Amino acid sequence: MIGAKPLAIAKGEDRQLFKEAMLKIGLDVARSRMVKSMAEAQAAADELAMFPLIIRPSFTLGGSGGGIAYNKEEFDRIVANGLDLSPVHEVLVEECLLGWKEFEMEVMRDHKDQCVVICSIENFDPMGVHTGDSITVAPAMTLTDKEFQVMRDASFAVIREIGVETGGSNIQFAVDPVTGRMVVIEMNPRVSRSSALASKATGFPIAKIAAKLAVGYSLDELRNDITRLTPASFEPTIDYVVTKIPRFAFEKFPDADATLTSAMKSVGEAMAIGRTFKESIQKCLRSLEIGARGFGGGGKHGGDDQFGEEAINQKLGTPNAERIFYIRHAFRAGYSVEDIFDLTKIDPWFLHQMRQIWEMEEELKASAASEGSSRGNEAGASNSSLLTSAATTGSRSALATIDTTLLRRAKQFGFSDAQLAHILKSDMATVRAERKQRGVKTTYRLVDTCAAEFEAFTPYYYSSYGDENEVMPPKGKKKIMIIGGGPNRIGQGIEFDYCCVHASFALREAGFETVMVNSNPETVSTDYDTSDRLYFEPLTLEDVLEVYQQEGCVGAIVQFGGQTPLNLASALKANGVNVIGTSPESIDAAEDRKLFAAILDKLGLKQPANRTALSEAKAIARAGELGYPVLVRPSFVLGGRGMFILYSEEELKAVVRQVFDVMPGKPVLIDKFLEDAIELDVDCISDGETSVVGGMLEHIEYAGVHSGDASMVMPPHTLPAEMLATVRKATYELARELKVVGLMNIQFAIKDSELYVLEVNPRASRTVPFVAKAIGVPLAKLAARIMTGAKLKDLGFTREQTPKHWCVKEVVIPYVRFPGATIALGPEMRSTGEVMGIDDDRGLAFAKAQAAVKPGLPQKGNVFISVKDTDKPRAIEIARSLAQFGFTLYSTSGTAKVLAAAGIEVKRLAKITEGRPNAVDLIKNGQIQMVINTPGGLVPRRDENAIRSAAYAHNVCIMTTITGAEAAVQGVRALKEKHVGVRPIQKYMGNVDLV
Amino acid sequence: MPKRTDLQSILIIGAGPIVIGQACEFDYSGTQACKALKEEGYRVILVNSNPATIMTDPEFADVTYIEPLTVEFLEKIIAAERPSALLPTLGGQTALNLSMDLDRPAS
Repeated sequence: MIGAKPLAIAKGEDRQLFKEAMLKIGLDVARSRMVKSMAEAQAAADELAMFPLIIRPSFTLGGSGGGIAYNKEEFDRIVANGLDLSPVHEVLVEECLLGWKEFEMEVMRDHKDQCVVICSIENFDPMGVHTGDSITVAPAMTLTDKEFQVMRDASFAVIREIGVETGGSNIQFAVDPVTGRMVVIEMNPRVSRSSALASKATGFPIAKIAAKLAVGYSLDELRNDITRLTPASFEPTIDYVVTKIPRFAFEKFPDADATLTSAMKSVGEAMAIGRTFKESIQKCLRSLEIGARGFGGGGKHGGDDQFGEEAINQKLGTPNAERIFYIRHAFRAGYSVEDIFDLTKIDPWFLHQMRQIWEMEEELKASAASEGSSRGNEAGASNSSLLTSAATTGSRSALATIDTTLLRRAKQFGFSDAQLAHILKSDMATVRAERKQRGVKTTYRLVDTCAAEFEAFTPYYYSSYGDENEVMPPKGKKKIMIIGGGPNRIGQGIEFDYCCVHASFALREAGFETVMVNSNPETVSTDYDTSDRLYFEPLTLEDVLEVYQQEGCVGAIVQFGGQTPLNLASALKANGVNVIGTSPESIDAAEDRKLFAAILDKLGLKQPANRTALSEAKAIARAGELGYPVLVRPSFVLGGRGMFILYSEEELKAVVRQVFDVMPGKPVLIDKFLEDAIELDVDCISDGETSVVGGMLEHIEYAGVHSGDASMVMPPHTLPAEMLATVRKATYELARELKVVGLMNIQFAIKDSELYVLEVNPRASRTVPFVAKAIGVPLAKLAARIMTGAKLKDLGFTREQTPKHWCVKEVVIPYVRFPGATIALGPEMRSTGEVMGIDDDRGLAFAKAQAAVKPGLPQKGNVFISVKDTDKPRAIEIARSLAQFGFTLYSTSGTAKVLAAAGIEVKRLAKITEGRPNAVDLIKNGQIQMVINTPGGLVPRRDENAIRSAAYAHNVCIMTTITGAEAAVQGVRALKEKHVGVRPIQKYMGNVDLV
Repeated sequence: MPKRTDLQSILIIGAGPIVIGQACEFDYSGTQACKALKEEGYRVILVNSNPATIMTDPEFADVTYIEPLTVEFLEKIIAAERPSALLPTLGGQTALNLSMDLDRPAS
């Protein structure tokens, strides 16, 4: 191993070893005692002499059984429970640092023992919230220089003592706000999430430098790419403020607890840069893309509703994703900074800053109101027909008469045009025109690692409202803007960043200058050397348009960053942006139900029968017309939110209110649901003349599982060649009709040999990188070239290629992070990531995909099998094969009866409601190696969910669909009968058949 | 000191699928590391099961294995490639844990 030796890793990771190491070098840690009995616990509590105390049982999953005790009685109860739950009957009694200030230091060390601090980071949310779920700010804002130096010295002492030879480490500290006592919490002896953030925040490429240090260089030998003059041993200095805010996905797991704790729950993050904290945090809030425009000023969480004391106290007292917005609600309700500090322990410095933003909103409002009222009086004197125009004049006047200095200050506070439009009762376009006319213009500043001490060579910018514009002169090439995907979320993740990065690479090669705009610090697209110019900006119309105009781009690519840029497409075009590739009109046509139905009619293609309803009663009536099962969903919603498959009117009645509530006032869409239909995802590339299928992926699960959550096989494994030919023809016709220039994804369903079109997306899809790797053709690069005028025949890709090997996609869904969540695949996407299994054998490709998502398929042991009635006939074959492979089968009464009748030996287990031992007991005891459990009905029965939940918690292989179980059987067979080999993808290149 | 000449090939372990707590920041760090080491003339061997990453594009490493991140598969890859070193610190907790597991039988 290079970089870090096993001993150093062990010392950094093991709680006890780490504590000893810290004490050895004279650093403070949280005080704690390991105890094995109530008496020892009592002695420990007496010795620590404080409350609250944290109790952590040893070796329980996800820290279960632990808790915070605020008094003696709670302490006794939690310790007793913890001792009972811990398999070694041991609990850690630890000093509680809840509410302390939290800091991180990103440190690098080389083999000459030179150490540098790359960046200090302060958590806005105090201790108690996982740092990944906290709002964080760089550099640290509330440390005095002396305190910072103490922390810097401590960081170097830690990295030396732990013995990370070379590379980066992240060290976390907590500081008691009252006494100033500083303790070391933990260190990561590796590159971490925070180092990615620190890299983007400073422009210092931590991972790259870490790799070079590992092979023998020292910091002074490596130069800083940005300045080209300074060595990497110069600590970066920054003259701006960086804010990161996590993005959550609680709406996907409505049954789960949304409180933020020490276990991370966020799925992505946005970062923003500003001259001040105020500008930075407001930009970051709008970068989140959750409907918030900033801190107030309308939009989601920023309206003028009054909240009661109870709601405010509750939202401030317990950490949650919306807490920051309740700080404003609290100010509006008359709370002082001190009141909010008492509830949140957020440092008063931050709270004062937030208060200043809110006061600015009030100041703007007051200036608008005084204008509005004076105009209103004049209008009142005239007749009613003049009233409307007078009102318009009044609002325009509020903007027209606002003091330019105030307007500039508001922009410097990070207020977007959308916020100003709301506050000044105007509209965005008018605000933009007015401020530009007054000379309140966006300026761009460089991220240069050195606070402008040296010249910077890498064009990496952020917007601000200052006097200087640091944008470098153009190189004389045509510039193309690529709009990224913003913060990761379920449904829009790394796949889209992959496409954006490819676009940039392809267009740079083709001689364009590329301009990347994105707000996600975790990505390759926001690396300073991926594009010619990088703008770290929120992906809103205002921010993107400013960059486009600043750079004088000749075109913008919107089809690669997922839904975020697509949503901006029409507005960008209306503002003079040349959207290249498939037109925004075609994108809209594919989304609009009526237009899309007309296109399908014209091409003679089918879609499942469907209706639209505007009321609950209508929805029930329309569903009746179609006949059950139906698929209902709200319109204008992505990722399958609020989507249900319903088998009876009774089921529909139970959820219909919920569906309408997702998008109040919008129609609900009802489709005839095609039961047990095979689903197929097709990715296609088109240049307007030639279209080529990139890949066809057959879902393993039947239609009804969101394509983002489905496991897939490429090439299709059950569909006959004639059907694939029909699919191909339909794909090409749709590409032609929608005038696709670039990429397109179509989801088809096949039932009783009939082809149905479920959905068409004229943009890069989630499966593009998977397909590109399966066939060895960089589809996203080709698409970017096409959008700038190249033709497929010039690029040498005119024929569809089918891999001779098998590629299987499988996903991971974060059930374990959300205890209590319903565990079943469905029409709403909930997975965060995916893996690929590649092999010449289909069974092995599936087995590899399973092994990659962990746990892999077992080859021996016990299988618990319990399926819904309609799956029982097929379960017989599955069970028979498993028994032949030597597995012992366990079932509950229903399935056991069917299997026994088929002559298969099966052991009966009690249902959870029937008694014990049941499946959950066996899973917990490690006696079950695979669970096959297919849920029946709309809401999986609670006892079934308990079984699946236990399987996930105890890392047991689980199949929740009958088709998945069948694939698992093939996988197990392959593992038993065939040699499992490994092969690099470079050796799969060209291993294709031409269609 | 210049770079080490006793190393010819370096194995980098990626972070696998995107999960909560371990997202695409490791695609970013792994991609940077691959580029940096190739630039120095080392043969880079990469293992990652996540096809959606930039780092698993065929041009970033000399040899790219899209295979499961388990000790079993890594041992097969190490046997096939005989890397001179393993860089464990760039693929998040997944890579760090696997490196420790790979180290265990030897120590």
